[in-house]
Amino acid sequence: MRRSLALLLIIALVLSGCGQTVEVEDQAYALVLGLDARGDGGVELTIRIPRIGHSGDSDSDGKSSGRPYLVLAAAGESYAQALEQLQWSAARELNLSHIALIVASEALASSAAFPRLIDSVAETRHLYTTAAFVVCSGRARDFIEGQETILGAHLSSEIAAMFRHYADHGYIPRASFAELYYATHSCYSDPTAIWGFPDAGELATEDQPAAAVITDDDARLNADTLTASSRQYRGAALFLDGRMVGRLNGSETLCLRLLTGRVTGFGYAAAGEGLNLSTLRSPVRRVRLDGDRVRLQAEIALISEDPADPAVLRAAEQSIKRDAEALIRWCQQLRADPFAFADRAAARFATYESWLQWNWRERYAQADVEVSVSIARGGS
Amino acid sequence: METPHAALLRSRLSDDLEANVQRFQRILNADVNSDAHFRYFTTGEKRVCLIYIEGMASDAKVADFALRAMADHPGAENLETLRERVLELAQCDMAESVGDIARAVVTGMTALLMAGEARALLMETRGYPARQVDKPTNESVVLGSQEGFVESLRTNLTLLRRYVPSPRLVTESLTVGRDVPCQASLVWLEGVTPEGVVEALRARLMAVDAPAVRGIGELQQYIEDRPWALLPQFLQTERPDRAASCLLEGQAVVLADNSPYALAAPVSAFHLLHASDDGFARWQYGTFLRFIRFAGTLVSVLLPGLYIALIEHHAHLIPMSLLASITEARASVPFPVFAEILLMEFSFYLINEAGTRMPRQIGSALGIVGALILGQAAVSASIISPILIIIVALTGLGNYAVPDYGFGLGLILYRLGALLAGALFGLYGICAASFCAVTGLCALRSLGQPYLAPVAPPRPHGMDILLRGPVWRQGKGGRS
Amino acid sequence: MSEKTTISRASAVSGVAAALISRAFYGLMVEGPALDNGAWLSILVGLALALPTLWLFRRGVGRSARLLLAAALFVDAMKALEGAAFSESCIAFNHIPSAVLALPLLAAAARCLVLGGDAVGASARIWMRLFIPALGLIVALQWSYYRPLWLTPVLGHGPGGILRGGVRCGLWMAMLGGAGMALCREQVRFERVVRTLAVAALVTAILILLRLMMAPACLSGDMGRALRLDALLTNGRAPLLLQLPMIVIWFVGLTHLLCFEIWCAVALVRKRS
Repeated sequence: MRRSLALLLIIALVLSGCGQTVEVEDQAYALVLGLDARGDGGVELTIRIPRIGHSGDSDSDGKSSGRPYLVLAAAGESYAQALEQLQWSAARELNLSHIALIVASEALASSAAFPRLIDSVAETRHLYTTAAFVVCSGRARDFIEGQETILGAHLSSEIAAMFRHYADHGYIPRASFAELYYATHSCYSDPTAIWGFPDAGELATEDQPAAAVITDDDARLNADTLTASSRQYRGAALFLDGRMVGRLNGSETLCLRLLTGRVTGFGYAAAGEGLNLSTLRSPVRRVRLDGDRVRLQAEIALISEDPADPAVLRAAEQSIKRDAEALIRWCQQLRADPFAFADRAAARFATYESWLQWNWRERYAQADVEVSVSIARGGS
Repeated sequence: METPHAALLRSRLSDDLEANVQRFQRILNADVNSDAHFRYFTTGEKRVCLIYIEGMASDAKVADFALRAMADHPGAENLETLRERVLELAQCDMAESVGDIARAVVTGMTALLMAGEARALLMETRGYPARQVDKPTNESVVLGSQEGFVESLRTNLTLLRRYVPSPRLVTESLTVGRDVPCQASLVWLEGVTPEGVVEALRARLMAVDAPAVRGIGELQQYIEDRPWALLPQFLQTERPDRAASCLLEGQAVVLADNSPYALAAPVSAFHLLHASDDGFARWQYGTFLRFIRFAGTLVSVLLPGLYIALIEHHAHLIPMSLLASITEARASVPFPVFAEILLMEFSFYLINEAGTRMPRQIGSALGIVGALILGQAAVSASIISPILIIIVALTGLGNYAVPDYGFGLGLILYRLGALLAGALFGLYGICAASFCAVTGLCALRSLGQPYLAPVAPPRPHGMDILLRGPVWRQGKGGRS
Repeated sequence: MSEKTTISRASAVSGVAAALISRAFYGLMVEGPALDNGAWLSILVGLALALPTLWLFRRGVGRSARLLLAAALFVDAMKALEGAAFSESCIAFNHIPSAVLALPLLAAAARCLVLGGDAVGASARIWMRLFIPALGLIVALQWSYYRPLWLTPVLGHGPGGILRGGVRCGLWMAMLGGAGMALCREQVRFERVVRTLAVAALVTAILILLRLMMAPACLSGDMGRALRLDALLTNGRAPLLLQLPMIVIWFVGLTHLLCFEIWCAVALVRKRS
């Protein structure tokens, strides 16, 4: 018996993958993956790889030695073919396990091919879907190429730090590719993605200033701002059945996050005054059934950090209520439910079949909306 | 093939003094051995001969308590009279077997033969040089006794008696070794140590069929349940307070002459991870130290294997910031990770072994050699990466945190197994290897008791396994 | 020889519980067709279905029944082996044939045959003691990612799916519970058997619920075994670092399952009475 054991282990030793392992320093770790549609229906993939030995803007001698990133791109008739081309172009073993950001162009995300592409990306071996997901205006490749390193940030953690900063202020959703994949295939609410766009200065030309060229509300807001990064993240992309169907600006995204309980503190202007508001408790969302009629209810409870004028607080309540109801109605028109009302409605059914037969999408589109907002007066 | 003088050793004394003396001269090779002495003396009308080995027996005792006593009280007609009325020695026994007498003489006793007597008196005259009781060299503690066992069996037994001053303490003498006997003692606490344990241990000691047993370490290998196992099934300690604690917990202790260690059994893996001063410190600190020690054991066994498994096969589990640092550090290292680890492990064991064998006068140089050349210079020359120095250092520290030396040596082999498993099959290999190791430990026995008891199989126990509970809750103190 | 074909009561309890938890969880959440929200109910249905069979075993198991049980255990062990090799292939070694990846586990199983059932059961007991704190740590770290609303609709794909899953669970319980009873050295009371299986079923149900709260049911098409394993281990919503304890729990659980089943199968064949 012991000899048999020893023989088994020796066979395992010989046949194991020990000799075929690629050393960690011989691999190229992609941090960003970009998805673009090619004109002929194909797919273009872009990746951004940090150069080994670069931990900041300059090398260890303090001299500027070029960009700390390498950007590679490859195209193919399908995702699989494009990925294979990309593996070849990397000139070493390409490792996708640390991808922190997936960027898709708006054109691709809105196309009919995108749901299938989501599956292909999710099925990619060793591509773990914890990456943040961004939909960008223009080409994803240009977007990735233009993303500069933020001073002082470590290459490996700057993306996470950047999104944490933006999300804390409430103007982007916390969107991962996994959420997109699961929501696309499940029977509950619909996913969102972070909306990204280039800095206004990049769009300006000699003849036309930036403010005249850009149409994005948030980009216009930033037109006169000197920003740390040439890529801005503000707003959300709405998805339905794996395709992008609409977009929310920064204010609307903040409202979305208020309704889904994902923001703790934010600034708000009402009646000409600025308020510092924070969430008093998680928002309550309900789905009421009155016969065939569906009513969507939401209750938002906030507290003012400063002792503000009650009239200003009432004005803010009304303003937030109007914004929230307008947002829900806008999403109803798109039939996209990023508020998780579907999750609550599904709880009333015993099986998936009965839930799907009830045709939530149509009932959601026709539902009545009631939002109530209360702001308690805080401070001393 | 029989040993020389086997027939003589089996024979018995005659009443012819000269014939008896000649026997012993042949057995002890008196014509060659310059330290075997045969001192004739006449007391009254009787002629006697004292046989002793110079250096083993104390000349002063022979002269003062035997020769002078006989000179002061002449006229003893037989050995009985000598023993009861003349000789001024604490121990004085009769013997008839030539073999017994010869064995006693070479251990430092003096044999007294008398004409007309077919017996001899064995007088306790041992006076060989022996090390004084000193601090234990390999089991240091912060709190607790600072005495350690020495090479003399008699002194060791005395130490045990001091720590367990109970009339129920039994010290049973045994001899192991067929041709070159070694004195051993089986010690237990009557009413506390289970009889089955004592009988089992006695039977194993009696069954040792070796020509010679050169010390307690060798004796342990003869009486273990599974000598092929990597981990010891006996606790080896050089501290009398630890041995006493084992006795009070119901274990039996074995001591051997010329070995400054005691063996205790039955033990579990948890006993081997307990230190002597766990009981001296407050229970909170004692518990904390035990956790540190257990964690150190796990780190010692698994850290290198986990490192190589993650780096080689599961890099996605390493946060990117750390992975980037590792990649940057390894960029200029010419060796694969596995070779790098083996190189560092070998260097560490080499430093370890050299430090043990090196003369004390140049021992301090080793620290400089090890730190500078094998650490700093190797990193500067990009032979190894800095993070591996940390890995190996932590591994070594974890190993040294294990109180039992034999247990620590066994862990080294487990570590190599985990390293190989991690290199070949990643986390999957480490899981399989860990399973095999734990299952093996579950099957291991110490004097028939499960090695991982009372955890597996479950048994009622006090708060003294991982958590060191307050002493008043542990039910110790000589009660069975 | 008798120690090699029998197992103590304590070891049997631990071994059966550990093996059942791994088998049920793997079978319901990765191996078989997706039951989604109904999976945790299947395990409870399986317990109810298995009890009558185990009631028959309590008086002893005849030779024919032992051989049948042994064959079933062996086949199931091979499925577990294939599952472990497949998991490893998905996680790291996709370039190595599954047969090679199975060798370490086969070596572990062979070692268990040498060491005996008591060692396997004792090892399972230690594993159960480590498994609970490890799981607690994972739950604590993933707490903010759980979505209890994803547990609805409660019946999942309906009573039909739950029953099908329940039959499979019942077979596993009857197999493992019956083997434990047949090989136990001491007399086992039926209440003890029921309690052991009930606790194992409860733990499995909790694990399934936790998994269901981490990723919603995929209704548009079958995810496939690889993606289901991926959803279990990496999930995508929780930090990637949490995959480390999940992988360890996964492989150690499958190892216990395989080794216990193989030992039981061989012991049932070798047992004389």
